Amino acid sequence: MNDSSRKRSSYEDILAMVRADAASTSMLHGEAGFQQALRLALRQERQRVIITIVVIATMLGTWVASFVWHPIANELCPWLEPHDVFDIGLVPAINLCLCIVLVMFPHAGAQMFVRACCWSYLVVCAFSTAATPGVMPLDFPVTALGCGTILLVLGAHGLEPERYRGVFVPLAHRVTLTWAMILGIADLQTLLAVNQAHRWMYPLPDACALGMVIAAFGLYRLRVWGLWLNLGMNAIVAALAVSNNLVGVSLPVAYTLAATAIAQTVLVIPLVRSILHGGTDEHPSLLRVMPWIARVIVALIMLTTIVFAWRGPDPDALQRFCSSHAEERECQFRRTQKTIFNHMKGMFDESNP
Amino acid sequence: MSKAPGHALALGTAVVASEEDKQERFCAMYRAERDSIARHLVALTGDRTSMEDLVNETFIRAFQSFETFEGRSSLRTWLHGIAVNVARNHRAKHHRRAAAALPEHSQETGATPEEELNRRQAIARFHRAIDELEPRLRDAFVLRVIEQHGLKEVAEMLTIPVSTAHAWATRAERLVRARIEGEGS
Repeated sequence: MNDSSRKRSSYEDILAMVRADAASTSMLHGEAGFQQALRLALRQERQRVIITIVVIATMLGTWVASFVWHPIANELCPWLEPHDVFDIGLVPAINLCLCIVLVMFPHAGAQMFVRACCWSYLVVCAFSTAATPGVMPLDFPVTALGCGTILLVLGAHGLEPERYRGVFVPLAHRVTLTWAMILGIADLQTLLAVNQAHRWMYPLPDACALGMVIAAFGLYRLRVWGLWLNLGMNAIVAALAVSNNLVGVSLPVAYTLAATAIAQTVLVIPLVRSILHGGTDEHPSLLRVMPWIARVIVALIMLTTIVFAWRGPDPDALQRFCSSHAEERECQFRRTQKTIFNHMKGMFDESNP
Repeated sequence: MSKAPGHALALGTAVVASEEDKQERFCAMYRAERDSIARHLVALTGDRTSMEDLVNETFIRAFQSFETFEGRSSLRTWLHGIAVNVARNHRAKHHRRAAAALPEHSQETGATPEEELNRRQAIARFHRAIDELEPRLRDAFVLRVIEQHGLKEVAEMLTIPVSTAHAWATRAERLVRARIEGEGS
């Protein structure tokens, strides 16, 4: 036998040993252990769903109660009409009702939507509470804490690879793409809620929302242009928000959009590196660390909300806030009216030279 | 490869009447498939100590996400695909193939202690070579070369095209062979 054939047989021999060793593997314990583990897992899943439904129902109940019985919430600005409050709460209320249904579905898409809504309302309500202490109604901290609780309770359950179906089935960078998708939908939820609150009268947030819809669609289709557009939209939204140029969007919401946009950009860095320089998948250490980072961030946001909401309503702060925002609201309204008038005048001049 | 009895895998085609019925059918599937899944997981993770937990996790995840089973592959292949995901998750958490190294028990082959030691060392060397592969190549290698699944099955388990499964398994085998023969020379 020559040297090379000895080497080859050596590989084949070891492979045969490994196969034999693998074939000798069998389960030591019986079915009872599995049944017990299955019962426990099912009970835990049911508990997670029940907690989510109860928390969302509590949030919605708080909103309705504060809308119907005013004293349960903080005093509101005198210029705020009931239909304004209705407009502000419409999109979140519809989405949270949807979440109650979707959280029961085993599909990853439904689970992602629930997380996106919770993240959006957690950050918006927490930032609003922190930026204007003593001003926001009690619904805001209640919503922030409720959404944070849901995110912590749900964790990554329901986002296992086998639950993905349809078009969005990432084979590599699954966790990164999932989080990018969740944050993208969250930004979209925030913009939709803001635009609905302003009755779609400010063109810039509307255009951003449209761009985010297209980017989310591209990302959902797992297209590279979706990722680039998503990054571009994040950069635009973050730049506009930080420079306070997102007309019609309040400062806390603008900071929310900027924070989520920056988080999303940082998150997809490994994926972008992989696309540009070649690479295979997420680093295992990243997968180990990411859930903990997410939990710590959510917990910190919840803690911040508690700290700022602790001292309760402050009538003086509310009065200051209402008077300053009344002027700002008036200015913005006139500016928008003027823009629309100029635009229409231009169109009219073009058609009748 | 041991094939599971047909009745145990009828779950995918049957209309599951109730939760109890579904649980009963899953237990039947568990009885039929657990050893096969256990072998699969040990080969993928190299960790015998966590084997029981990983097998249970595989079946629990299958039970919980059964509604997402689209019937594109056989239920058995789908189950093995979930085992691949469970193994990946386990590897990500534990960084390395824990006890990949040595098989715990000796087989009744009538080998001398020295031969048995050589056998264990050879298997450990093989597992170290597998450890050095990229995760995707490692999965393809284990499924195709060690477990000897068909290419189509491997492709379905890893949710990749058949040509990719073939390319990954071939490349992985070349690398492992080079490593083993390199050490042997």
